[in-house]
Amino acid sequence: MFSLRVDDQTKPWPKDKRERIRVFDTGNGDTIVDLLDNGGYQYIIKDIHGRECCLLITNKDFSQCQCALNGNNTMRKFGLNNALMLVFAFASSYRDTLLVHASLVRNNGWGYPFIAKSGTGKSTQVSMWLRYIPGSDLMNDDNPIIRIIEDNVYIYGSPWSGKTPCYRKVKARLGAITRIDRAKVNSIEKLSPIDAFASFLPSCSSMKWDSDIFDHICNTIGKIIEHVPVYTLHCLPNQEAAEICYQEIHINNGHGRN
Amino acid sequence: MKAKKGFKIRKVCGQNLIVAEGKENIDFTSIISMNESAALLWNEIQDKEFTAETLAKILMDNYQLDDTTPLPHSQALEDAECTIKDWKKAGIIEA
Repeated sequence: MFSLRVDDQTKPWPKDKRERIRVFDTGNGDTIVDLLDNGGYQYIIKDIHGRECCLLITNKDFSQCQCALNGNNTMRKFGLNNALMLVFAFASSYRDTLLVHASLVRNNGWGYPFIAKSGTGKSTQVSMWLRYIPGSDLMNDDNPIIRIIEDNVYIYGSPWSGKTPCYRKVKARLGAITRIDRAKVNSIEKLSPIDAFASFLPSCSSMKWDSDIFDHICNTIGKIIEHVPVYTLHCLPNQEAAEICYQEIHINNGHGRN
Repeated sequence: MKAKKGFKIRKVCGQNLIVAEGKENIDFTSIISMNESAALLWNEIQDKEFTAETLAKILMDNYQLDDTTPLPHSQALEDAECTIKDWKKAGIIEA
């Protein structure tokens, strides 16, 4: 799918042959993105302390990439990890695949990702499932992968899992996508296709400024929501929320039968 | 006026959606849904200057009240002006 060569001698692209797209605040540090004159990209990945950890140069479709790592071991690890994630997200977008920001629980062979902005309670909802819904296990806690293979939609663990070390080579049928919304009372609603698209898009790694990649990502999302229901779970962080959610997205969708 | 760049229509589950793209639209996070007639108008006026009259003409060329009654100009113009108001509010056209 892609190759990434680590070569600490890699130099930044000449200044007059690239243009700034944006400096993004990733929450874990800034990433500076430039468009190169050959259609490729340059990324400078900084850590939370503003230290440059990685210089990444890619071609247009992210199939050929190289990077220079910088600093101590922790910084180099951080740089390489983020470079791999970026390159994977965009190279795989050409193959009906998405890297998503979600916490992922599995039950009876079905994968249920929970999406929301950081700090809303994705992991908390999943921990309620692990505690109160029999037969549940954690597949990934931050960045699972969704892939469509011949009209079937699958979700996978990945080498990236946020603060929880949960790096599993596991695959499940994608059963439902659920956005977490904090509320005073527990309830769950199924979204219309338009709302489903709008709810899910912000949780997918994408790049709006590259129309080829963005096109692929939007098409993949469109196909996913044709096959998989999308919900909003208005919830408290408690047992009842997990039970209501399980009843709706697992039992009522017929996923409980083998 | 004309359509801003980066707002093309995609079909998602049979619905017409506009998802902003391009470097200039990184902060445009709204998603716009259009019915069939608005989508027709939007596709027709890409890359050209248009007025309410332009839209009214497209509507009259494509729709009629019934088999024998054409869409009256006054009604087409009213619909066109409504549509332009919506597009302005959504921030997808420029002077």
